[in-house]
Formats: sequence, C-alpha cells, structure tokens
Amino acid sequence: MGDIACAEGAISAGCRYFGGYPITPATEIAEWMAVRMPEVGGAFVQYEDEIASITSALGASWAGTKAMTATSGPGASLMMESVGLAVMTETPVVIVNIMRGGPSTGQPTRGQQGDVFQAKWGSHGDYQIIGLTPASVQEMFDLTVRAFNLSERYRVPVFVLADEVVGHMREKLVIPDEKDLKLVDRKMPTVDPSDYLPFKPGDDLVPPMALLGTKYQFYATGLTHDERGYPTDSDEVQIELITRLSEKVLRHVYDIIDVEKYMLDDADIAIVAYGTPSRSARKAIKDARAEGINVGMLRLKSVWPFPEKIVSELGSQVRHIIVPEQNMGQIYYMVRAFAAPTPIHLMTKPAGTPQLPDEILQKIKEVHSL
Amino acid sequence: MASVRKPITPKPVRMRDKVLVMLEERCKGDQCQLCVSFCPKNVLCLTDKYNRKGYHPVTACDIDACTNCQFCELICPDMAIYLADRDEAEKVFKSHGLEEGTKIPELENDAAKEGGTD
Amino acid sequence: MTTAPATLVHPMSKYIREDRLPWIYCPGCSIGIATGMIVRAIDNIGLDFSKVVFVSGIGCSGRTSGYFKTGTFHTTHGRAIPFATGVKIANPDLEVIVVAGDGDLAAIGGNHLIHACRRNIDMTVVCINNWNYGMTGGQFGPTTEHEKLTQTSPPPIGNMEHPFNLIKLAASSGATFVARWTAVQVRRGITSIEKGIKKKGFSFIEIVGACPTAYGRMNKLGEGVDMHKHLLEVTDIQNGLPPHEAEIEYDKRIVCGEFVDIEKPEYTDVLKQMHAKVRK
Repeated sequence: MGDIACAEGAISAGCRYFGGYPITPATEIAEWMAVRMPEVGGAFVQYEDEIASITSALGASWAGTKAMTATSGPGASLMMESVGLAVMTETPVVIVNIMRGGPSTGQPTRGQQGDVFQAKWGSHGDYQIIGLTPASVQEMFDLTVRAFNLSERYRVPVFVLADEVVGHMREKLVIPDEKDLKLVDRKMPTVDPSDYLPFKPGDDLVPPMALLGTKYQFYATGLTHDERGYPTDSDEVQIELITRLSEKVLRHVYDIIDVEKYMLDDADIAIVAYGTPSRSARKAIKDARAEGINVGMLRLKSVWPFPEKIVSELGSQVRHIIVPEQNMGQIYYMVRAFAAPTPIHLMTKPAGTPQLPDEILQKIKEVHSL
Repeated sequence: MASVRKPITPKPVRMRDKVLVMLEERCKGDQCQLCVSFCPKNVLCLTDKYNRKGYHPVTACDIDACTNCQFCELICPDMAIYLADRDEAEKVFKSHGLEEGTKIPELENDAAKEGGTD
Repeated sequence: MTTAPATLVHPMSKYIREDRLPWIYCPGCSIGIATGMIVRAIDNIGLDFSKVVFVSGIGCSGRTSGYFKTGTFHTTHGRAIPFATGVKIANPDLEVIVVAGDGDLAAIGGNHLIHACRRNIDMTVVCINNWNYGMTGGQFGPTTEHEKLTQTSPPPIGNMEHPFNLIKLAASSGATFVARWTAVQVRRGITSIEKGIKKKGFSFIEIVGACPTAYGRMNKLGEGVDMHKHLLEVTDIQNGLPPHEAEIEYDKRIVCGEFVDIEKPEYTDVLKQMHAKVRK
C-alpha cells in the first residue's frame, strides 16, 4: 500500500524516529511504524496531538536522528507553526501529508489535492520549503527516501504530498538493496567548538549542524538571529537571514526539481499534472495519440520550489496547456504565471474521484479544436 | 560513666575565608536591591555612581559584618555579586588583574587603610 | 599549589554565555534567581555540561535557555515539552531540562504538560510561576488568582477566572517528582532541582516568583524586594505533604516543599526493554 511504501522508504532512508497521531488516510503509516520502529531500533511515539508530533520530530532531529511525521489536511494545519520553527532553526524533518477532502474535516476517506499551496504558504512569514508529489506506490518509497536526503542536505522541512488514492492503492514495490541506496547525512561542523558559529553558512548557504551532547554549544531559536544564534531586532540581520533561508533552496533548484516529460518532444498540447490525475492523463494521452493528436505530459514529481524555467519553456513550446487538478486550481496559478501567454486550461475536480481518462481525453479534443 | 566532661579546647577563631566580589556592570542596583535587603547582616548598600546601564551598583558598607553566608550570591538574579576565595582574590587584586567593573570592597578597604594601593 | 588565576571569574561562569550579560530580566525579577538555581544544581551534581540540553518556551522565562552555554533551544509557545521529549527519546544519554513560565506550560502547553507527566519521560521541568504573562505586558494567565488586576482583566472586574494549582495538576497527571519553592528559598530550590535532575522520571519543580513590573505594579504589590519579602513571609514549608493539600494563595499562604517522590517505570527505559523484546 502507498502508505506502507512511504514508511518503508523512510526506514530505508535511515529514519529512526516517528512521532505521529492517527488521522485518516495517513494512519497506516503510523501503524506500520509502530510495528517496524522497534524492529529497527528506532522510536515510534504516538502523541497527544499533531503539534506534539511535529515538534518532537524537530527535537529528535536535533538530537541526531532522522525524524518524520505523517498526517493529513487537518493535522497539517495544526503543524504550521512548527514548520516555521523548522525553517527558522534549519532543522531537517520530513512531513508526509496524505491529502484528503477539505477544507476542515471534509471527506476523510476521499483523496484530493487541496493542500499543495498550504505546504508552501501555510506558515506565517516568507520562507521556502521543498514539496514532492508521488503518483505511485513505488514513488511513495523513492520520493520519501529523496525527501530525507533533501532535508538533510539543505536543512529544510520537506513535504511529501500524496493524495489518499496514492496512499491507499496497492501496487508492486521494489525495495532496493541497502548498498544501492544513496543516502545523504547533514553536514557536521569541523571547526573548533570555541570558533563554532551555529548559523554561519558554508558556500552553499547551508550551515553545518552540530550534534547535541558533543562539545559544540549553540543556541537555536525561532527568533531572528545572527550567525551566533543570538536574537536581534536589527533590519540588516533580518533581511540577510530571510534572504539566505530562501536562497538556500532557490539556488539549488537544479538539484531539487524533479519532473517527468512524457511524449513532450513533438507535442503541441501539454498536460501539466501531478499525483493521481497524472495517471488518468497518461491513459488519455495514449488514446489521444491514437487519434492523431500530438499531446504530451509534464508530470511534476516536485512542486516546491516550483519548476519555473521548465514550465516557462514548455509554454513557448506548445500551443495549449491543460492542468487537471483535484482542487479548485492551485498549481494552475503557478503554471499560468510562468507559461503565459500560452492559454492554460484548468480542469478542476475538488472531489475524491480524480479526472477520468475519458474526461481528460474530451478536454484534449476540445482544446485541440481551438 | 554517664557524663564525662571533656576538657575545653578552644577552637581557632574562624576567619572569613571568602571575600565579596562585585561585578558592577551587571548589577541592577537601585532598582533591584535584593541582595541589600536580604543580607542578614546588613552589609550591603548602594553607591552613588552610575554603571553603563544607568544603575547605581551595590557595594559593601559594612564588610566586616559579613559572615560569608553567600545569600547575596544566591539571591542575585544577574550573577553580579559572589564570594571568591580570599587567597586567590588577593593574588589577582595585588597583580591588578581584575577586570573592569570588578570590585572587591574588603581588599579595597584594606588597601586604603594601608595608604593607597601598591 | 595552584598558580594565581589571570583574573577572577564568577564561580558559575563556565555554565553561562557571558557575552549575553546583563540579562534582559527586569530588576527584581525572580527568573534570574531561578536561572542561578538551575546552574548551581548542575554544578553541585557535577554533570558533564555538554550532555545537558535546555529547552524553553516563549516569554520571559523562555529567555533563560539563551543564557546557558550548552545546546539550548528556544522553541514555540507551549511546545518546549514535546521538543524536549523528542530530544530525550532520540538520545536518552542527554540530560534534558525544560525551563518555561506558568503561562507557557499550563495554558498553551497544558496538554503537553499533562501527557508528559503521564508518559513519565525522564526530564526536569522548572516552571517559573510569576502569576501572569509577563513578557507581553502582564495579562492574566492560568495561574492568576481570582479578582486580581491585569492588562486583560482590568478594574473594576479583575480576573473572573480561577487559577490552576500546578502542583496538583502535575501530581495527578503522574509526575514522579513534584516540588514547589519560592524564589527566596534558594538553597532548598537548588536541592530540589538537583533531586529532580538526578531522578529518572518526570520531575516538575515550580518556582514561585515575582513580576514587579507587570503583576506587582497593577496589583500594588510593591517592588521586587517587597514582593520577595512577602513571598518569604507567606511561605509554609511542608515537605511530604500530599499534593492535593499544597495550597497556593499569594496573600495568605504558599505551601512549599517536596510533595511527590515516587518511582514509576520511565518511558525511555521501557522503550529500550521493548526493543530488546522485539529484537529477540
């Protein structure tokens, strides 16, 4: 099952701490972790609420363990303040959001894609995070491993945004051998403890992260801080810090962005999709091609930071772009911002059943005749 | 033998083996006055001068009454007053090794009595 | 025979970030006293200070973590305890100390407090109770007494609500070591904090203090010195009293002492045992 693949991906990536809370449709991740964590010597803790889950994952991360939590829409809303804390203290953590019908309690057992913008803009203030969007059980495994690598490399919270369908579907999963997995660990300081400045970045804008219980002493606070970690209310430091936290991610988009280009070489209509609707789109494209329409798909495997350049190039390459989303239009706006003036056609379906292949084929034909 | 009267051997007089050290720049003096009020022997009082933050720091007006109970050190919220080992303090004082703002009232009084520091 | 030191330093300086003195606390504030108490407790035990981790919340009491020279964290409001729990579970060799205020721990952090007591995770929580939300200007909080005046319970009505008794709360939630001292009982407080740190289990030590700038001014309780002298006067030391009798009333009687000192299986111990069981 997708959820279980995600949990196994985390374990293969080295995650040894899971703090969670039951919420449909992510409960299976917690339940699988409850069984597996003791087996691998990690810790599974079920907390009193999602806020404790995410905050404790931050604490565990600072104590040197790769940590994660898993939730759905309502829990993600609760976690937002701690996401801000993770960004500000540059704590590596992975947050899995198995998206469901929203807003509010919504439809717990039906998938949707309504939390994509929340992952990026949910917490207060300006910041960048990384958001990955798997569309199959194998990708739930692979992208979770990738999520841990990215969060350790860039010291930033990484969201794995899957919808309930991907979370609950059952497909074949191939778990690679340990020796075939490339894992990334956070950069540790090499200077003398008395010279250590906890938030002094390296050339890649990422500061080395000290381990608790060693001779390195540091102060990690959610307040705006200078390189020593001490709070300050100076304008210059605020600008410098916020800029660096953003640039830390944006400067490395080449490393972070992950897309799949399906039949795009000669396409004059493109579909930009992610998650479950992309699966329907794949079938629709095959059918459309059989009818002679040159259509292809740009499937986003990472949505944050948004692949601006790739979408912009796509816009100049094709005549029309179709964006099917299981929400009222979220990534659509990002595509529109960068692929304009190419016309973008939104297919919204803020419901549990995704756009069916026939529906997408219908839309392709419509757009083709324009 | 129920009660045996032991011979009286007077114990040596106990001298204060620690001296009071004031860190004037940390002291919130006249606004705080916790050490001044809680000293059981009324040793401490305020000075008239100002420290960098605008407070009148505390000093010892009656240092000879000090019994080294250490309560001033414990009650101070700002780590501005403490007791240091007498020998060590004397060595540092005599070699002028004290940092700016560090005052040792007892040793300063002794030095003043001897007619100025050497 | 020791050579003379280059200069004199405060006996606790090796634990303190001296470049951050003087501290932000108002003159006469008890939080500075509590900070000193914690440092002296650690000094008395002789812990490896690099293995000690401080986690604090938001507020004046939350600023204490910035002053200790080890791995320290200033987290979000009320969430110091779950953060500390994550740290402890991930590395049980660390000594985790949470320093937070009454508003941080008992209001927004209340849920986390009672569950951590229930879980009996090995950490020491020092709650500095100054009867209100100090940093934001003196609003009433979960420990503000009935009818007292604060910024959000102004005259003529005063506080309509009744306060928690944190000792009763912690004890009934399952904490294994519960004590209360005022900021004036410095030596006794140090002893209790030492015991709490040394004990394997959830230790909760409430340090009752004064907020002369906000609470004291609005309720005409005097300056820092007056409030502390008053605390000394109304203290009634009753070690070993059952926690449900540990009353606290600023005007009349504050029962201080060590009320709970029991043994219960501790979370990280049980976790290790469970691991061994599964792996067998």
